[in-house]
Amino acid sequence: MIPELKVDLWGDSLISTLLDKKNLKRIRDPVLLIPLVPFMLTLFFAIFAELISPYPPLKTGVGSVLSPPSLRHLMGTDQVGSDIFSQVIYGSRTALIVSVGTGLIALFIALIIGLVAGYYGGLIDNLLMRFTDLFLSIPAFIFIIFVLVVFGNSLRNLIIVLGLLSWPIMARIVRSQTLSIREREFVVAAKAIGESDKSIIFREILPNIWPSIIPAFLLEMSLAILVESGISFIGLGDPNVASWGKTLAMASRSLYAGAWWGALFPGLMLFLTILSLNMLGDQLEKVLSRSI
Amino acid sequence: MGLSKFLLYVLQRLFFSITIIIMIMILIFILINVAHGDPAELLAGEAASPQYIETIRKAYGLDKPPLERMIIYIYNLLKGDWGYSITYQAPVIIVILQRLPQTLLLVGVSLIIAIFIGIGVGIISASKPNSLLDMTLNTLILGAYSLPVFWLGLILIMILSLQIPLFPTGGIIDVSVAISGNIIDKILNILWHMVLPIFTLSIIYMATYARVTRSVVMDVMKSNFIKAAIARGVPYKRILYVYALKNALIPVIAVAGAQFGLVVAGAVLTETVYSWPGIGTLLVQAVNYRDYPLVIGVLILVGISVAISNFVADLLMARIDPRIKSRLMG
Repeated sequence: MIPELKVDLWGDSLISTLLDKKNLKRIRDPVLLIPLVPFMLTLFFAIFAELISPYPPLKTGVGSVLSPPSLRHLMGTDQVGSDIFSQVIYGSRTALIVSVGTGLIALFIALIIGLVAGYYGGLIDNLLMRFTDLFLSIPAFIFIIFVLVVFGNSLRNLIIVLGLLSWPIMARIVRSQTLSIREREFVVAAKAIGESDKSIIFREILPNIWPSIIPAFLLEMSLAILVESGISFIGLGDPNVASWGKTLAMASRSLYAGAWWGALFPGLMLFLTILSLNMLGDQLEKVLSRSI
Repeated sequence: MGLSKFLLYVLQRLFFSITIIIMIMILIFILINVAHGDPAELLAGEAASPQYIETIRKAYGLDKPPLERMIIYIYNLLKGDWGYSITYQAPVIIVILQRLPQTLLLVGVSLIIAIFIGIGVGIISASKPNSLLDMTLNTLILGAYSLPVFWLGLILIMILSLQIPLFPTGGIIDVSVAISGNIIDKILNILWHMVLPIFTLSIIYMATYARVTRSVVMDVMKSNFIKAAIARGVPYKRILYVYALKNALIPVIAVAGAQFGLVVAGAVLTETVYSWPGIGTLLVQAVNYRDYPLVIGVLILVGISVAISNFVADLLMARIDPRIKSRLMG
């Protein structure tokens, strides 16, 4: 669960909050930067996959079957002789595409629903929030499995359906932020001088809700990576791309042969990336809520 | 007066839960129709004969206009007619009901362990904010919260059943015991098979509840009524374990109820790793064989359980949460 933020930034924009001296000091604190490392590694792998990856990730027989980690295969090979290190690298790209893709779709819907519900209030708010509650109740993982079975298991389909299912929590945050910002002097003033609703929503309110959205966005990203790997683990991943979950599924079938490397490395990468995003989200939330 | 308000609340929540189920059924209907020109072919399975497809078409009223078709489809689902599983050669609902007890056992035991330990850990962590103990616990909680459940399962199998052969790698009971053992042997054997899956699932569930508890207790401890209690000289332990706990229970129940979908997701993946013969492995099998009616059946079952857990959580909260209680009874 993402706890609802009680941030009230008095009209500060995100940038000025982050650039505030006290916060900068806190961000420069090296201990706080450690959690960033795994995510940066994922990002680096994802961007430069072609340059780093020693083999095509899905090509079979690039090494001997189930060979343990060595200089030729840093993370060993699986039971069809594919290079696990290359899969880990390309898996980073898949994880990143899925998490950012779903995050953006979810954010877009969350902003529309949350802003409209929070700004107009009353019946519209009530209806939109009931709708949000309903969507929140859809068992996402199982529903995604159903959709992928019916429409075909491609990365595109996964991103779309996961995005369409993951906006409700963010929408609630946007709404509660909008509700409180709506009452503030600068919005009341803007209304008084006759600014249009559209302009108030986009120019007065929207810039002030980013700070509370970013931690939620990071948590959403980590959840999306978790879902993608789970979906790939049960065999519904995109057959044309490498994924940590897929590598782990292969590894689960060769554990009995003592091939620990196939389970250890991709899993560690997956775990650390998610941990990284979650820690980052938690810390950002703390920093932003302390800066009031 | 109070009673009728409570009844109204119950009816309201019941209506919401039923809406969840109906909405999922409508979505299933729409998506099947959008994805495939002929849903009869989809429901009949991949290698069905033309005659069988015709039978399905008639049985589900698929030759009628869309809206009427949808009503017939949903009516059939509500009646318990969830179609016929091609791989099992049996009605979907029967196949699913046979697998349900195993999953309920796994999820039920894990949830109970997770809620108790999660709340406990959350309170201990929140009792001394920012102390070494809190930081350690909080890091561990976040670590557990970020663990992919199936990876945890793989690692545990690797260490505790392959390296050190303490526990079985999967399944629910050894074949030899299932055939010839007496009842006590059977129970012990099942318990032995349950250790790793339950440990895995409990850790994952526990992390969520510990996180929620910690943040709620920390908030509650700052509130005025706690300050007043401290001023009155109520012992700190009593404040923590009675006052704060009571308040922590409400959001934990809310989360447990509202996030039942995540509970199910964890169970599916855990069952897959440990080949536990429950709904999760059934679903994965159905996916691999493209047994559409079975996949849809599992989705409906999960939808219904989500609706029920939502409803139960709402009722529990109405009993515990003084804010809802006073609104309803006052």
